[in-house]
Amino acid sequence: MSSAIILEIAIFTVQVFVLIPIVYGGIRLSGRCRNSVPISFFIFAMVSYSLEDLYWIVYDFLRPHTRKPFSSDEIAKTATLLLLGACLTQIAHEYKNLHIASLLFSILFIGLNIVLWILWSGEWVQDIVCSPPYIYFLYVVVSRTHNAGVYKKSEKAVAVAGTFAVFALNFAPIIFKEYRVELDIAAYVVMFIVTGLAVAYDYKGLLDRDKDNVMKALYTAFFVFFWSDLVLFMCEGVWYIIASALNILTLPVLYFALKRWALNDLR
Amino acid sequence: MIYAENILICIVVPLIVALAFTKDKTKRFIGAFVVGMLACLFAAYIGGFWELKAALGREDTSIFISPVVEEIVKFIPMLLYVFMFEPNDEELILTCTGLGTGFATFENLCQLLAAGSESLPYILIRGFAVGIMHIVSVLTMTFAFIMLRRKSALSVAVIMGGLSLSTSVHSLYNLLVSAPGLSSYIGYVLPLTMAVILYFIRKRIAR
Repeated sequence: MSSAIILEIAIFTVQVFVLIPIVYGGIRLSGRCRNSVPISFFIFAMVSYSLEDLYWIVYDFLRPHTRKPFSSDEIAKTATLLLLGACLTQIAHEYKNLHIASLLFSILFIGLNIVLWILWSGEWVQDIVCSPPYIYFLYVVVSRTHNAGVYKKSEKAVAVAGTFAVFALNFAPIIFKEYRVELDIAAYVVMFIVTGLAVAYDYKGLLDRDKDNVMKALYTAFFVFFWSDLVLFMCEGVWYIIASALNILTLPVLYFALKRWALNDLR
Repeated sequence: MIYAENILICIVVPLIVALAFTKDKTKRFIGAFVVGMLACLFAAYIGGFWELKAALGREDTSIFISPVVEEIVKFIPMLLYVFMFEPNDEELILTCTGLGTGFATFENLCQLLAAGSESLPYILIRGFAVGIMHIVSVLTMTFAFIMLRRKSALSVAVIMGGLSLSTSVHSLYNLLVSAPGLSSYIGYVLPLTMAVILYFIRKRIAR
């Protein structure tokens, strides 16, 4: 077993150990709050996420260095995204109308990601088949955020600029093939700076005890979790381990932001 | 090589005749049992097709393809029953138990005819692990349906999420039992553990 596989098993094991108290906390929370439906969806989403990790761990142990012909853990990820989307739909139930601009943005954004995934992996059928849950999740978060109007223009501008920079650097090696190595390193550096800042902003939102920021912290938690998950797809080797660590950091924020909303826990 | 269609005919014909002489709950259970067996045959056809189409070995098919195909094939009749007949909770649990049991019984029957029934450990594994797995996955979906229906939270995203969740459990089970040793023992215990958990959930739902 190579060191990369051992590192992968270690990081997924850490993730499972982070998810166990989150699931337990979610179960306790569902009994304490008035609207337990979103919390139930959240619990099942986190169970699915831990199933994805468990599948990876077992697979790495039993079949190290063999490629999956069909990625069953992707199905667990699909469940996670669908259930988290359903969770947010229940929370922001007042925004039911279809928001065309958000839908188009979600399709375009995930479409660009799919192009990148296909370019890297060559698995175009699987990548396209697995995309609807991503579009659904992103649509739910973007449309609810837009309707609630929680972000300032400056915050949106920074997010768009960061995203654009990451995408531009990931697409650049396709055109400028002679600078592939340098562009790849630049892409990783920029991507991790953007993700690191997003995670820091995520924690800042959670620590801010202002009553008006409850929903903002919740939406940010969903956004940053999703972004850190997309970053995973753009990484390999050691970069993948770093991205996984950042993804793990977003999970407690997701839980505590939800808890704050559920209990209206404002001090 | 076994002729699964012939076995199905042999088992289903007396059950269909029995349908004419039974009423209410018994009739519903027998009907669901027959549908479960048909679903199992259908799943075997689709799995076999993908095995050839994707040029996978038998083990790879059982790890990667079968869980997805089997869960979808079990899920479709269940979904049709829920939305077409709008059954109450008890009717739904009864029908889905029949569906899962029929599926598990027919799969076990074909496996035993193909592999032989001399080995008691193999029989026990087929009965307590593989057989229970199908009932557990169907009942998980059923209880999820009931709880969501009670809270008026049933949506396409949730239904698909639930299906993906049950498929993930099934995939993990198939992966665990694919290799001998500790992982397979963990795999064999998984369905029975889940059945016990579901039993307590069932009691809670009844309250």
